Amino acid sequence: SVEDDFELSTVCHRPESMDKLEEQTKFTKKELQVLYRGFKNECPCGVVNEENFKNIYSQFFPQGDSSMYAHFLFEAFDTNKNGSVSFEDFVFGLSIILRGTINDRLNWAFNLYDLNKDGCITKEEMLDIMKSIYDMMGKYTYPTMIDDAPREHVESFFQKMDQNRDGVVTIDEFIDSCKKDENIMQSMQLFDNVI
Amino acid sequence: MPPVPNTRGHQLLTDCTCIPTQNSVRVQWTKDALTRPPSTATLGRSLLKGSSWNLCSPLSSIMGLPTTSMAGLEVYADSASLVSLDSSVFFSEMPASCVRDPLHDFVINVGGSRYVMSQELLAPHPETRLGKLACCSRDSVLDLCDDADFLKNEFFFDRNSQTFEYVMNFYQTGHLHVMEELCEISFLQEIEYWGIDELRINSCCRERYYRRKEQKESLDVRREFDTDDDEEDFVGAVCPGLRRRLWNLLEKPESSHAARTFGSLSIFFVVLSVINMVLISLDLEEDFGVSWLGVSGPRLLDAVEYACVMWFTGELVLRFVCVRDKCRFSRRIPNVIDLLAVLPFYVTLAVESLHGGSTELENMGRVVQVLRLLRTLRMLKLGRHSTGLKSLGMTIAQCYEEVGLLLLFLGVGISIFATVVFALEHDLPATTFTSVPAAWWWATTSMTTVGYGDIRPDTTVGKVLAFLCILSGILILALPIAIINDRFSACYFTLKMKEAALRHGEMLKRLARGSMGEEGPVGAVGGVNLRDAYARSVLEMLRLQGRERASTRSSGGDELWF
Repeated sequence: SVEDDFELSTVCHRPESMDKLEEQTKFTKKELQVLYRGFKNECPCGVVNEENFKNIYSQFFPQGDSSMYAHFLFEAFDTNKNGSVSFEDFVFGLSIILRGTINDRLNWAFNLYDLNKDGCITKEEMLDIMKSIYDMMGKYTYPTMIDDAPREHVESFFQKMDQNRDGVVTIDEFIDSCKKDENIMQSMQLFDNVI
Repeated sequence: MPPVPNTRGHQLLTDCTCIPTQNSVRVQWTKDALTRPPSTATLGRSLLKGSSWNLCSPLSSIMGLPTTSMAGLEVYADSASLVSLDSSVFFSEMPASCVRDPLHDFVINVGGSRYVMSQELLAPHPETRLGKLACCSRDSVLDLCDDADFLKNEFFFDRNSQTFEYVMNFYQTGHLHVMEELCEISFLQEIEYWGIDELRINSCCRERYYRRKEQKESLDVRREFDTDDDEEDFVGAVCPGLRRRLWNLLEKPESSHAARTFGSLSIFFVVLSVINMVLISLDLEEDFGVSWLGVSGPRLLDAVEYACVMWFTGELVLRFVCVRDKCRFSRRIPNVIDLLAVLPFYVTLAVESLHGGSTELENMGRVVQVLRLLRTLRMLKLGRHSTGLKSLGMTIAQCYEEVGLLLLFLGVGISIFATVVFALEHDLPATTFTSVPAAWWWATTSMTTVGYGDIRPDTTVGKVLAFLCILSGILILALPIAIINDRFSACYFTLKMKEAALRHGEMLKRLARGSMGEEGPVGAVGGVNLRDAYARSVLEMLRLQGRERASTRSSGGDELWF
């Protein structure tokens, strides 16, 4: 009907063909179908906007306020900066996180933490991220949340990572120090078999 | 007039919609179009240059205006800024006389998105907020909006701009739609703010809107009830440490091995007491001559009964002593069931000791027998340990309307078929249809397809009617059951996810409490890692959601992809 054609600013989005996605990501056809099914279930119009993304994310972290972290994550997924994450963006991001090499994943993580995408992480950016993570975990963080805990955390992080002491962490410093840390390397393998 | 569909083929007008107003066409651009160059002014100019005829002719044929009266194009761009979301392109039948009076148009800024609205657009809806804004005086303007700039005739509202587009659509077309991805509660709040009644929602979206709103409201109500049984807080009570440990042992089987053992023992005793009841009822001496348990058979069974009752009493007393708010404790259903499970035994004991041997025992005996039957309630104690039983209880509580519907259908069907078949059958000599209630019983067993066979029709016509009765029973009983089915699914998965979330919260709480004052690497406390706790919880949520999707009917899938 005429009213149905009269879409407002969100247009129903269909992804490109599966073959193209299969060659660009590291998922098989079956996995892509499973992902698409889940995606379409949560977002029937084919794209996620930030509001929706925050909602879905808060289901996994109900005891804290995950909106800020979800915002940062959304910016990391939304590579073409158009305010919405389509299925392609989603699958590209997931392919790197779940199936990428260690370097790819660390690159992606660096991109997430680098809020203004200028190639280096400053203390302020790190502080914002740290605060958002503490907010997300809610009242049960360890150590128990005192006002300065994020700041101290950031200080110790910078001490470890900023090797040339210039006040910012570049991508090489980041990748270097992550590779040396046992805990971080272990965390990278956590979600390998999720799909 | 209905809005003109998108002229999608046209190069310049791919991202807009053309809305005919009285003697002009307003072209409304989408956000995408305007954030990229060229600006509206350039677009306007190119429209003027060559493509004006392309713009006008298909529209005029649709609107029925004579093409010869196309005098020309006037381009009206919003003077406020270049990057404006709305520009109006007018074409006029008569030359100069209907240039719009700019004071009658004003700019509405909702959460950052600007819209140009005119007096005429808002006039048909004077009871809405914007309608009031259009015809009110300067002084009362600030009551309606959040900020106003009288120079530029711009009014700012600090609300959700996404929902406002639907409101805008409503003003332009008179129809209010609710798209699938919106949250109904948020939509309701927004349209209440704008002064639009939810009754104006168009019939195509109305059902889905009300259905989802009801679901969400029932979810909210349930959540209010459930926050009732929040964790017990032992701060400030007598010997808090001991009580907390005891509470964890009794109520939270995941907290430690001891708690899990306690839970299993609890289940074991319930099952044991039910088996015991079965064995007692078998009346061993009569059936087997010499009971295989020996002469002491009945005494052994009694001993088992005493043991079970002692365990149940002990559990109940421990729980009662441990909890702080005794009143709230006594109101919760699992505890009431626990009490009813042990009460018969004590009442029997009291009765026997008070009236042992007297003739009044006869009457008391019947009461005591009834109380003994309450022992079967002990099976319900398993509800404490099982998600399935809990969700069954919740479903029945929520679906009592549908259960009522079921009974209504049954009642109507039974009375109709019973009376008809009774009229046909009761004349026969060897009939089983002795009375109308007997016919009711027959109709019940037929409609539910049980068919005991104690009452049956003998005439041919009676048998034909019986066939109809059975068929209609199958059909109409399946209907409410489908609704209950749906509700049960939803309840079950919601409950499972809630429990997963609760377990995760418990684990984190234990981490936090146990980690106070401990040194060590960030996040690692005594083998339980914060990161691992989160990873486990997220993976469990994903698994649960996968199972829910697999078992319920879900839209969106492989069929839609090529």
